[in-house]
Amino acid sequence: MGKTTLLIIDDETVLLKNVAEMLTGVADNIVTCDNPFKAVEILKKGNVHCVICDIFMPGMNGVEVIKKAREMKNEVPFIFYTAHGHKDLMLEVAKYGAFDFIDKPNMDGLEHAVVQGLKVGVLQNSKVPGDDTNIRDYRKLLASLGDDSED
Amino acid sequence: MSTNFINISNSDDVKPFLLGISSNLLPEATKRVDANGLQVARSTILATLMHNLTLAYPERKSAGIISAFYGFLMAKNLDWVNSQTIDQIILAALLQDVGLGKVAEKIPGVPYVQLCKDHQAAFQSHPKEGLVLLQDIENVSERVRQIIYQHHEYCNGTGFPNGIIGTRIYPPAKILSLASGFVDELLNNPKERPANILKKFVSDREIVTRYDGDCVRSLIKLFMVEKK
Repeated sequence: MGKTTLLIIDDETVLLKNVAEMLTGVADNIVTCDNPFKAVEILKKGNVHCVICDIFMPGMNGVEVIKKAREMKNEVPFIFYTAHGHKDLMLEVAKYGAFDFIDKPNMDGLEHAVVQGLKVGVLQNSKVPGDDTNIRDYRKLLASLGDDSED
Repeated sequence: MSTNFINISNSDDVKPFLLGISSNLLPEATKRVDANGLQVARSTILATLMHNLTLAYPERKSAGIISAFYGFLMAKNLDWVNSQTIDQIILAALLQDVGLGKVAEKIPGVPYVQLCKDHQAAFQSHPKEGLVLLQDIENVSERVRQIIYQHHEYCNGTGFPNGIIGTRIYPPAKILSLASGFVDELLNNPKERPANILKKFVSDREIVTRYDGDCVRSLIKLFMVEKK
């Protein structure tokens, strides 16, 4: 995997700092941003492989941030912190392709999610197998089932 | 259907649909599905939601349990899924159709293809209703709710409720989407062996292109006999 950059967006600066510290070493570069408008500018420049974003922020919420990224044809994996009471935002955010969801305040599973998100983020411009390639592959596998799957 | 959420894996409603799986993971699957089933049974709210679903659609409870097994087994073959995510997939599988219990009265009891547009729309709202019903319930994380919300999304964008494509579908939901779709085929053909259903399922281009390639490979591998 090449050099990886993680962007963390949260208006709560203490949490921002804590999460960045918690994830030291997981990504090569960690960029923190307490202003979602500035975060969109960072995303415009590209070269971010994974984003952690709070779902509820004043001025611009997490859904608007991912929406702006997708409008820029940026499909970087987004991991959202979530908390109870944001049902409408959670219904909306799924439309834009959220990679993972971490419940506040315990942040359970965050590191694993970031590691996986960075992997996907680095590979996002590589070619994925098309339907025909997949179907050829399935046929080979099915052939190896042979009659062993019968009684 | 007498399937209960305690010792669910011993049920005759489940066993025939796991026939031919060569995996030595079945005992672990049983343990994990039972543990999550117990969690549902112990929660008054979740048990009530499942009760409402079973009243309207008795077969959906078994479908959820069998999907939980397939979800577990497929997930075990995928290197990006960790133990925590596996339990979330299992719980989501068990609860995937709770939203149907809410919209049941709007839908006549006929096969989906025979439903009129309005009734189809009501049916297609069940993943969203599921997410809403499970909001603010202790022990149901946002991940579980999103797996349920997206369990009918297809990689080729023909799913619902949002019709999002594969790269935008929450990855664990791709596992449940396939498990759920395959289990529906099993339940529609109860006298056929699962491996034979799998061959037809995977050979149908229109069906198989709905699903994530790695998940399909993982499903096929469940039926491969381990050579000594």
